[in-house]
Amino acid sequence: MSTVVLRDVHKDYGKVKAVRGISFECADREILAILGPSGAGKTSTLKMIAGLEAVTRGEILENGRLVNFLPPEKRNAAMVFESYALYPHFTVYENIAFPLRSKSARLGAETIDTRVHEVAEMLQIESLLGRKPAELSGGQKQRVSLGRALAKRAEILLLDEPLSHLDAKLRHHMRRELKKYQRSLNTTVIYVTHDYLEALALASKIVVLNVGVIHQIGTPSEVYNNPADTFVAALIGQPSINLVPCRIQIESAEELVCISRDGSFHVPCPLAAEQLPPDCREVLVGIRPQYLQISPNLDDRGMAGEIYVSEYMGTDSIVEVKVGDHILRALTQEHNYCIAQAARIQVLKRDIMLFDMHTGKNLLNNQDRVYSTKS
Amino acid sequence: MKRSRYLTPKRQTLIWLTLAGYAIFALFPLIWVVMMSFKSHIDIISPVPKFIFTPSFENYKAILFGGQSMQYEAGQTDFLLYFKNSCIITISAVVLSLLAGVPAAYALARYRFRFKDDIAFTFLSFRFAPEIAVIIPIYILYQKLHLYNTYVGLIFVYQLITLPLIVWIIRGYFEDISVEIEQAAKLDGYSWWGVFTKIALPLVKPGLASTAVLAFIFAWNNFIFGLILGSSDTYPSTVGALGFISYESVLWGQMAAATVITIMPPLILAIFIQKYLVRGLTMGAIRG
Repeated sequence: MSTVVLRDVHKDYGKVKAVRGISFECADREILAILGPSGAGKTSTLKMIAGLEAVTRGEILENGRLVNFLPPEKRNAAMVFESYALYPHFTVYENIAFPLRSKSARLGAETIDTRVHEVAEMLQIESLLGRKPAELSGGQKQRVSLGRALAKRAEILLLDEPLSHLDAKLRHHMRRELKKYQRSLNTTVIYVTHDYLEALALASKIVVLNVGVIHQIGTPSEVYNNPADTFVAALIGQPSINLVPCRIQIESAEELVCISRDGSFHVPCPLAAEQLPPDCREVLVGIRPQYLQISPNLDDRGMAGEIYVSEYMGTDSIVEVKVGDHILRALTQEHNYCIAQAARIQVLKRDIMLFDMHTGKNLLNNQDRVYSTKS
Repeated sequence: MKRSRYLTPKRQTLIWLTLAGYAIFALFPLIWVVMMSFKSHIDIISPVPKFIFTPSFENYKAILFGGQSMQYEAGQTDFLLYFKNSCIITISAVVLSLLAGVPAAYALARYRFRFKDDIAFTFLSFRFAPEIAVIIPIYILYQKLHLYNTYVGLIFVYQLITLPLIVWIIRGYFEDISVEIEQAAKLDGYSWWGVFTKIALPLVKPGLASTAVLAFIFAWNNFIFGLILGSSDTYPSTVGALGFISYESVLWGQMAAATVITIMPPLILAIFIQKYLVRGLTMGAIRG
């Protein structure tokens, strides 16, 4: 049983405000991801939960107990650092055994040995036990670091970008493994990442953080389908979402016309016309790249533009189209576009998002909408 | 290839010749002293410098065991006492500096506190002023405090040499250790002391060894503190060598022998840790 609760937590480094009053709850045995770009305050938050950084203001509760002033060695947390932070003068074995040899662990030599081998077997690093960290590759170091954290059998596992230094293939493998360990070890995991895919794939709850402020807390599908604002919308998804400034006209009960400076397009009405917020005449229309269609037929409806860049990605191509001053990104399965080719760009009959032109807030956010999850 | 263009055999020879020339220039005084220590007094004072002579151990015998040397009186045989003084004072000074300086260096490397930079600068400033500038006030203080001509007094004043060196260089080594390594150890359940002794200290051990040797060499070579603040009981061997200059004559041979023996401990230490020494010297300079 271990929960983590943050209540209006602040962290200042001198005049720099790294974390500005964040609150969230992490339930027992949950994987919570803190997602944000660099400088968002993710690591500061994690280190405050670990007890490595003092909390400037606010409260952190672990298992309902206030732990603001509890030193890290007394908290039941283990952490995997982005830099791995392996002890360079110890072998892999000693590294993993180190937390088990502490005074608070009070374990016998035999138990320690069993546990080290257990963890090493799980992470497939048994053959490396005699090596020093300097003799390991990045992926191996990462696994040793994870092993050291797992060996402690802490109730709370804190992971700081644990997969960011791995190559794409190993990252996917480790993502799956992590999820497996978490289920078998029954720990509460707080996972810091800047990679939205990791957050979506691993977490049951995502906290989106930017410059020390929480933009949204939600399940992966909430964060993806119903972003609180343009920041969240742009952070999640690759290629990132298109935000087109438009004026909106209600065509019929089912259809809206979005009139941008460079042409107009029709989209299905996300809500009944009368339910649309009154202030959504001038908005930013958010369209995921996979919902854009490029047509070489210039007689079609849609916005006129020309192909700017086309990147071949195997099944899909990312095609950037210049429409007026804007670049729109589309994900398409048509590959044969030439640069500077004229084209029409249309929006598929799918959900769109409407954001406030000035504040960036999602204008449809508070409404109960059923999202189509097919792409 | 670039390499072959720049390092033609001709260039290489030139480089070697230049280096050899500099080596002879730098080492000649040392070689001359070593040769002198094996010469008889006649050979030493010969108006034409003698490079070929019959070596003898008379000078060494005289300073180590006393007694007559050639036709001259042996002067003084207190050299062994002075050598012992040097050992006691220098080793104690270095040990004391390590005990006080390593925790100080750690604090300066890791913690943020008021006047931190001023304190660090004060340590460094001990090395700015020439010793001769402060020696008179210290002499008067030592007379009043009864520290004059005592080991404790000399060990204490030697801190001016060894402590700044140790604090500044070891600080650089501590700063080199990633903070996250220590944070990991804290999360692994270790208190401050546990982290310091099990992680921080072992990681700076190579630096510690080389810095200690460096401090030893600096302290060992000091002359002025021993001369002014010590007396014949506590003179280190650098000062003791002056005793070979007597009213009547200068016992060059014995002085040379004493010098050769005196430079042995630092020389042996320097050879052993040569590899780390350069790193130790440059480290504090680059970081911090």
